[in-house]
Amino acid sequence: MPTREFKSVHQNTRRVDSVKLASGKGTFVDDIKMDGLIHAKILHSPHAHARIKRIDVQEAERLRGVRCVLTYLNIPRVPYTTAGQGWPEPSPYDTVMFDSVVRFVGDRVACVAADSEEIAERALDLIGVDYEILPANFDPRKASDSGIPRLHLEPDKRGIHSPQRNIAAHVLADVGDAERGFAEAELVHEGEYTVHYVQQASIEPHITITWMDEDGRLMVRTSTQVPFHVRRIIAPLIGLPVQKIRVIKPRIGGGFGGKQEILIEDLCAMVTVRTGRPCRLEYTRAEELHAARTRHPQIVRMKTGVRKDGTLTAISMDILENTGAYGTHALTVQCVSGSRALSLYRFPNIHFEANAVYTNLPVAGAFRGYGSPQGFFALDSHMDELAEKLGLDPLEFRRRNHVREGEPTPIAEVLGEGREGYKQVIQSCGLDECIERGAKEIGWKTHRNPDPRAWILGPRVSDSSNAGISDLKSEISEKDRDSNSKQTNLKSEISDKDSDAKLKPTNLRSEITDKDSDARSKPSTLKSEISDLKFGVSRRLCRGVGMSCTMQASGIPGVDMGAAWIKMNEDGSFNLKVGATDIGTGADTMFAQVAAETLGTSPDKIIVYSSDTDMTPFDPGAYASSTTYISGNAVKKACEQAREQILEVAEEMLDPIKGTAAHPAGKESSTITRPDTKDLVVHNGKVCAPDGRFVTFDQVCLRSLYQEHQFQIQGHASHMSYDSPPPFCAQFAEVEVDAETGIVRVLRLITAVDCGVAINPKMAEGQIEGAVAQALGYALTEQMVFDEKGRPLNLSFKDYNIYTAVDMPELKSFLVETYEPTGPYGAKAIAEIPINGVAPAIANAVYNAVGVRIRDLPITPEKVLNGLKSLQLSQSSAAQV
Amino acid sequence: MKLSVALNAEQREFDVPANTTLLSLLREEAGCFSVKHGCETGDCGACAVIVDGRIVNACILLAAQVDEREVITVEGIPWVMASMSGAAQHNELPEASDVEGGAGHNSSDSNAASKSSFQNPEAFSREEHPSTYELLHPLQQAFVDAHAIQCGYCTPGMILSSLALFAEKGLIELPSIKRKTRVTPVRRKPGIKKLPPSEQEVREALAGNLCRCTGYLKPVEAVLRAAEELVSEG
Amino acid sequence: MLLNLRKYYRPRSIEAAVRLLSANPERCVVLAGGTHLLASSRRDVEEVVDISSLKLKMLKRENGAVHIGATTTLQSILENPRLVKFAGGILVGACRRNSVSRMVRNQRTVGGEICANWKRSDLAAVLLALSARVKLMTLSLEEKEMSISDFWSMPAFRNGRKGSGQVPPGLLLEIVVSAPTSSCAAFEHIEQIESQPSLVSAAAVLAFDGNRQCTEARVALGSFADMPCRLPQLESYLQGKVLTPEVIESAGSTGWDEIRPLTDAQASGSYRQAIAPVLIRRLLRRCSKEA
Repeated sequence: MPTREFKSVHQNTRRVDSVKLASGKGTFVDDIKMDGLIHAKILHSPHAHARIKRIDVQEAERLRGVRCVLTYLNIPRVPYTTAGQGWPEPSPYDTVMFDSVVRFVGDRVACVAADSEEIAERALDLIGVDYEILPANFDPRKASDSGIPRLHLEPDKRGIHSPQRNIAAHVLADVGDAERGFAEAELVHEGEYTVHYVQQASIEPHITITWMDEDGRLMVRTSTQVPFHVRRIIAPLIGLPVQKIRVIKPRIGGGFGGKQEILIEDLCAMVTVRTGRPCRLEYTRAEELHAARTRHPQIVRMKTGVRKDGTLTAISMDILENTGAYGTHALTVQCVSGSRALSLYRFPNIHFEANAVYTNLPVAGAFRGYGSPQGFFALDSHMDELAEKLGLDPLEFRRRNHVREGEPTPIAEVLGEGREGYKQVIQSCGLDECIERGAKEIGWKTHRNPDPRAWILGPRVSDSSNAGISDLKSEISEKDRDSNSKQTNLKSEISDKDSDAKLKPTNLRSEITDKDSDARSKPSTLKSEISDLKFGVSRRLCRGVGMSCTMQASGIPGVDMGAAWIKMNEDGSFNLKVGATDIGTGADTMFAQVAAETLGTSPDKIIVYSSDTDMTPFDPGAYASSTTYISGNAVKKACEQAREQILEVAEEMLDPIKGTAAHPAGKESSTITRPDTKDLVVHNGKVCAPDGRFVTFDQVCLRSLYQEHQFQIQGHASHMSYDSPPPFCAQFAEVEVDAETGIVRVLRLITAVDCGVAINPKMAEGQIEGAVAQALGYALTEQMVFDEKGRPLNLSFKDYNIYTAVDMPELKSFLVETYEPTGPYGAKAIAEIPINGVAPAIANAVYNAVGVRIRDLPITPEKVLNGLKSLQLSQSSAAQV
Repeated sequence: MKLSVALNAEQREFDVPANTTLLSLLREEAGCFSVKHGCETGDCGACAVIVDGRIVNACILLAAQVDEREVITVEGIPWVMASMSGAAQHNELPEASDVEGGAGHNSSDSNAASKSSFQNPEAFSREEHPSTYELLHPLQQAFVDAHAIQCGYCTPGMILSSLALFAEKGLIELPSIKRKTRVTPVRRKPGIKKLPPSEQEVREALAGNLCRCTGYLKPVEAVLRAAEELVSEG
Repeated sequence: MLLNLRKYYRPRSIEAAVRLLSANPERCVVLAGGTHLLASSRRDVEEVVDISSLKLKMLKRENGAVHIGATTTLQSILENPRLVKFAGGILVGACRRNSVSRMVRNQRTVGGEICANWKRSDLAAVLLALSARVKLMTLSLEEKEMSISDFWSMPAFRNGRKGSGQVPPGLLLEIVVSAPTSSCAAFEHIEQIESQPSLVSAAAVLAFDGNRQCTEARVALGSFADMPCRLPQLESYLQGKVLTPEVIESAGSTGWDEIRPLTDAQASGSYRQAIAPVLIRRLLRRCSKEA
């Protein structure tokens, strides 16, 4: 719990940038005009695997308005990784700017820069390419088989675990002795879970603008999460030293991991270096949807040993990860899958193995959660299955076994991100309260379906006794269409007709709970019930509730380091320079709050400037949930330094003889003593002495800048940590399954998060709500689909369905506040964790509703229907026996 | 080809190739950076603009299609507001006291002889220095207050969709410099009471604006709040 | 981007429009709303004829039929208070289903939809069920009228896009839909979330006599096969029958052995095959309620 009253932290401070964004001023990357700007376009491979036998750019180069054409023939070959990670990057150097081999549909073949986008497009058509089509593999299970093409055998590539077996990365980690643990178990359960290709789909595509300034330095203005990594990684590719490159990050239209990547900056920069002209490169949405980055699909096998009383004895987790054609983030994502999933519960014995393999499919990279959504889909589904086998309530089972304050997470020590980790001990854990709040809100005791198989024996759709329901529902939907208003008539209709119809118990229950929840629910719940009644007539609607528990981390221990500078101005304001990257998350505002809290002023007095490699100190960037915990601590430390200086100046000013501070009315100078700095308090932009005298910040700064012992009040600090305190989350879903079509509708999604102290609770809520919307797509509707030649089928939002405002179920979020002693003012992290547990909560809810276990995402109606049909078949064949 | 477009209260002339999209025209020729590129197929709504009173996607309109028509973007909101009754204009310069978390006022320096202007910025009134004060429409203010903006990329589109909804419901009138050619969205019977939109109506109005950051909860809240305010003031 | 588009016309008379189209039939196309054309990246389009000033934006009810001008937007159909009840609201329902985006519905025209997107359009299925007829102006300035299925059978549609060497049929003027008296109509659809295109959709217009026997049945499936289609087997099965639960139950299993369901990014053909009977039963039940 917070140990004191906060003034600026833990407040719903209005964001520092929201006014300009509401006015459409934004200043995103593309919101500038530049003279002489040329436009770059990329020629992408139409083949999943091919060698470029011949590439002829002469005609393209000759087209009027074309400024340059780049291919593997005129670009030096420098292997690197596109992963925006700290040096040395734990991803293989298996990529080159242009290669003579293309490895997925969408891979780079050439780049044209011309006076207009249109000319560049035409020039792309004029590039002649002869491909030798090579066999391609799209199945990760086959990647290491003989006869399957190897993607990266070139000797100049480095860091690939086994090019001969197409294995980009491999991890092995053990705690205790898993075999012995299984031997001690009274029950061993196994399962295989698969998760699929999805996309970050930030509304702003990838975009970069580069130009040379007057000093011959390259300016890179780009939509990125990692400006410092961009600078370092493109330097050798374009032949410029780091000192000749400046990367600027303006407003970013969302990243979610897709921009934790050096995706196009190298090309744009190369064009500028070659032509001397400013260059702009923006991805189209079609390019975003197959030639950018995605989440890593995984096949996760879990085997767990447990005693009948529910104690866990061992777990073995085996991941086969599909990293696509290049291995960016391959190692670290699967490490995170393991270290998060295996840290949450007390497994005394753990065996973990993961292999990331190459396939001729789009390149997987970083995406919010970074391995956790995959790992927890497997783990949380698995835990529910275990609970069922043991005859235990899945909630109790989790509660009994999850890690608690004071306990270690042994896997974290052996499994860092790409290297050994560090010992972690949980210092704050509000998971129990998260579970309690969420369970109460969803109605765990009242809304769980006691008999998921009841629908099989329910009334058949054509029974006349069922006519009650169908008449009823069609009447309701008619009224709905006619009247255009929703609420009260419908409720009374439901209760009247219900008593007439002869219904089987469980169906009746779902009708009753309609009434109950109608009675106490807000209009939006009712809306979802009515809108689905509007959908059709007569169906078997089965409701169920499921849950999940997840955790994440706060920064990469021993790796992430952020820095901050602060200086004071003569009106009592401050300039705060942070390396950290606000990608729309509100980080700049959060820093202003932390700074204001530390300095004793208000957030509107803090001018935040962030993420500019010339103007701000270093920060790894916006990923790994590190911004609040690591960079926030750096801000706090820098401000503490500045605060000390303010106090020293104030002390001088408050000296009764030599000082300049006013004496309080009626007091003799002889009775006033010079206060000690340790007795001075900063408050509301003033420095206050115990006797009630004070000096204001502007007075302090005027004196220090201009009058006496002049110096600039400033602070600078870095922060890194070997701790990475996990936030915790419990999520609950209520779904309704249409047993005739397999359509799953999510009615309610409850999220309870322990993020330590929320620096800005409203912003934290916003992170939850946005993450949940993305996670719903992951669970149900988003899926990148390919044909038999590896060509993507969804190249627009028409075919890649993300949730819109009318699709959202009712969301409720709770911030369960603990106090993390190592965090800035008790804070941990929140940006990623809420995305982790939605899919398994829904899968568990579907199982509760109809007894169908979906172990591979997304939960499509087809899979559910197939599951329902199998159940029906096995039931009827069992009945016949 | 030459185009004449009424854009945000000004009649503008352009000369662009025939295949120029409205999005391109607005961003590159007219400097309306609020209109965003999110896709090229009219699916995401980041480029939404109001043409002749109707909300449409600029990326799938040819600039030529708005020749002799009227376009409103977020840059035109001050004009939209100026044509309002005047009651609901807001002044947004974040006062220290507005923001939760305490105040840090500049106070007079008791020992200093001079009062330099940098210590007394309030000496300049809003009329003298209008550009330093931000005038926000109640809808924009609601987005700010409700924390409905995260990355802000979809925000202009949502704001215009909401304004179009308000116009339909009679909560506001969209101004026009060419009333004769303007298409009235929905014929309103005179004297009809202003009704705020329901949550479902707001969601439907925003359904064409894709957002990846917020989950839509707070934007919907913001629009409902603004609607309430406009109804109560009108 | 329409890379090769060089000329834009906005004629004020139908004759002028037809003249422009016939002058360059392979490279000059009609621009109604533009939601389909501008979202494509067609290289064959060099000229567009914007027909928004031809006063083809009209909506009227006459003798039980509804006349819809070709450039009437989907949104204006939704907003028309007199159409809410027409044919059980299926026309309005299909327009709403077309897109959750108000921006799209404000721009998309009925004419554009049935020319450019008829194969995957729920609206096309509804129009089939409503015995839609189209009026068009040929390139030789002749006014012709035909059923909508004949319209879609014309070579320009069967062989894909214009510019494939087929002469386009002309300029679409008007669509006329009617529902027989004492008929009921219904429109059903199945999708995961509202903003997703229908996985399968169906529309039915059934006429009944005084004994509640079906005298005429028109049932069309959308998003099922590669184009909207009537279900002749089902239609003849329903002839003369009363819509009892038993009839509805067996109707669900009639009628598409000959129609091959589509597999696409959203769903497989076998899933569509599995849920189509469910959809048909729901459709017929709704119809029977209306009757």
